[in-house]
Amino acid sequence: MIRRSASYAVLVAGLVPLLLPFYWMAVTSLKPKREIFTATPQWLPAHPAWDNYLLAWTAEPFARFFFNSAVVTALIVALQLVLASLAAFALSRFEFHGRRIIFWIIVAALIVPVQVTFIANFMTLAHFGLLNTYAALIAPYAASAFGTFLLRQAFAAVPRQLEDAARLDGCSGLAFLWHVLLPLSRPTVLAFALVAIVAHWNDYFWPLIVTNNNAVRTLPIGLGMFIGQEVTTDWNLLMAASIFVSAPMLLLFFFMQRYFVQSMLRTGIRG
Amino acid sequence: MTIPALRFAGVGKSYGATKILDDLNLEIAEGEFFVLLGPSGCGKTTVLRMTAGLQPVDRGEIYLRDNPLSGVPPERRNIAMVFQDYALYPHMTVYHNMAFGLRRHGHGRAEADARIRKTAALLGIQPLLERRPHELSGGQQQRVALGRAIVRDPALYLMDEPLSNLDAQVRAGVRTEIKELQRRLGVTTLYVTHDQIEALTLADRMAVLNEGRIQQVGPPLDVYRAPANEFVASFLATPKLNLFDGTIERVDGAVLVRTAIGTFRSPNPPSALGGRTAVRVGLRPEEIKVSFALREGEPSLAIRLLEPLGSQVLAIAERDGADVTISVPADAVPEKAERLGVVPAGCVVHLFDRDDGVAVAHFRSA
Ligand SMILES: Nc1ncnc2c1ncn2[C@@H]1O[C@H](COP(=O)(O)OP(=O)(O)OP(=O)(O)O)[C@@H](O)[C@H]1O
Ligand SMILES: [Mg+2]
Repeated sequence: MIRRSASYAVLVAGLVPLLLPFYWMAVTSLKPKREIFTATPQWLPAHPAWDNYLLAWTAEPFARFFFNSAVVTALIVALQLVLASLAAFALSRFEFHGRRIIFWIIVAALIVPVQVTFIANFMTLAHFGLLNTYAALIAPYAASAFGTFLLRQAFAAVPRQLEDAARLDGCSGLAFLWHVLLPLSRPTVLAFALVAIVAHWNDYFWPLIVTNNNAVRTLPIGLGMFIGQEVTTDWNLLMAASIFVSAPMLLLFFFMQRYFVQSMLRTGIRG
Repeated sequence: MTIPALRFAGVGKSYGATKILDDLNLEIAEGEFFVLLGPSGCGKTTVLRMTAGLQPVDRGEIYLRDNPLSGVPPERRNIAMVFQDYALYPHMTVYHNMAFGLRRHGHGRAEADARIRKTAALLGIQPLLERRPHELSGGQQQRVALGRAIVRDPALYLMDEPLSNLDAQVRAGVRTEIKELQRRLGVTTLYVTHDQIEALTLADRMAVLNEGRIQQVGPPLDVYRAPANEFVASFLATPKLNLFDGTIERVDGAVLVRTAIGTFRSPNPPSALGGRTAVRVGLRPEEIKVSFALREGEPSLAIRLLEPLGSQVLAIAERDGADVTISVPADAVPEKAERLGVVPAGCVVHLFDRDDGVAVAHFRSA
């Protein structure tokens, strides 16, 4: 009993510094301007200003940014899942020349920092006249070495006898991938999908480089513009805009946490 | 002449330079329970995977009811297999494990359901239908794996050591069940195992496989009584075959076989013996007759160890450096027994050629 309370105490102590910034963001987003800078920290807004959200939402075309972010993230993650599944399927269950080498090249690609590829990718896209399009935001991320690696490891752990059984049941090739390998690797797939969604939803640098037009800008860019543009920053509106960016991810984690924790545990064990 | 249900004609298989199977020839009759017995790594699984179409045949051909199988994909062979590790789909319920193959073979939902209910009733697994494999005991998983094969109603069952992952208690029960099921369904079955007891209890006919070749084919008791060579004799002996060098003497039309543990007499000389004067002599632990009531001066063996197995006791005895393992009924062994004598009459003796190990005679000594 005592040990249990002690571990809760440690957890709470750890949570406070973690949650405090979120709390402060939420509170500030609701404060009227004059309540922001006070001599003593004000933990709750005296007069909640709900219209901060409306003001922030219309200060920039956030609806457009939101839509762009959703489309880009969804397409990137969908493409990554499809390509990683197929590549991992080939790498884990087929014998062919160069299989090991290809696998090691993919592992090597994991080591290369993504920034290294920016200039080459930018020039390629510019050459094809694709800057300021969804394609520019999506194409460089369509294939994921990380996802391919994770799925290959998960697929390779599925025993051969299961593949034999499936073949006798009339389920081979892509049907085997769909009906057996992917369902069995669900924890890995979910964990990877979540990580990818968060990474691309929050991505700032690459969209900043390839977009200069509101039609294709994403949420984080919109947020950045919001800061840069105002001479004296409206912190309450900025915090409200920040909620637009972070709320979907918080909701995603809230609803997926059960799977997410489970997935992390499983993939951890599998290595 | 009836067409065999399954026929191997000169089948060979190599991995790189290693020959795994060499000129395999076998005929299995319709409805027969055929057991392929062999040591670990002798290629049993390979035979089954080739038959199922999961692995190509390098040489020769396999025929199912006279139809050559090469080129026919696994799902069109009408063969079901029970795997060593069961290979149930972990993410599907028992019901869907059975339904999956049926549905993919184009059976409608209603027909699949009817077949699954019938098979489940046959195996007594109705209460398990909604469970997943990890919620089942080993014996239950085994039963589901059988169910998945039976529900397909195939022309042939292949079973790859289906009992090897069960503990001894469950194993004997499931073994009986498999035998009864096969009798009832009458479906031709090719069952592979390295366990001689399974082979002897289950088989209508059996074959012993070693080093890529069939060593002997026949009804289990024939194989047991008259092993074709030293390998078969020792493989069908628990825990081991006692082997001695022996010399042959012919006295008054009878034959005397002298060995380190005694002399055995065969009243009518076996014809295959020919003019040999030297042989290898094999006696199984349960085929040696012993006595613990020794007379003064009678030749005897020192008992090194007694291993009680319940109704039987294994006696490890020795004489002049030669070890002998003998199985004796427990109640025949006196307390603190130190020596035993081999009774020369009533032992079952197997004689093998000293050079190639081929059996030349089997007799009960008189
Ligand atoms: N893909 C492969 N590549 C190379 N050698 C293989 C391959 N598969 C099996 N072998 C070899 O072929 C031989 C026969 O294998 P197989 O699995 O058929 O044996 P088994 O009789 O079923 O053995 P066990 O009783 O252990 O299951 C073994 O020596 C094995 O090492
Ligand atoms: Mg095997």
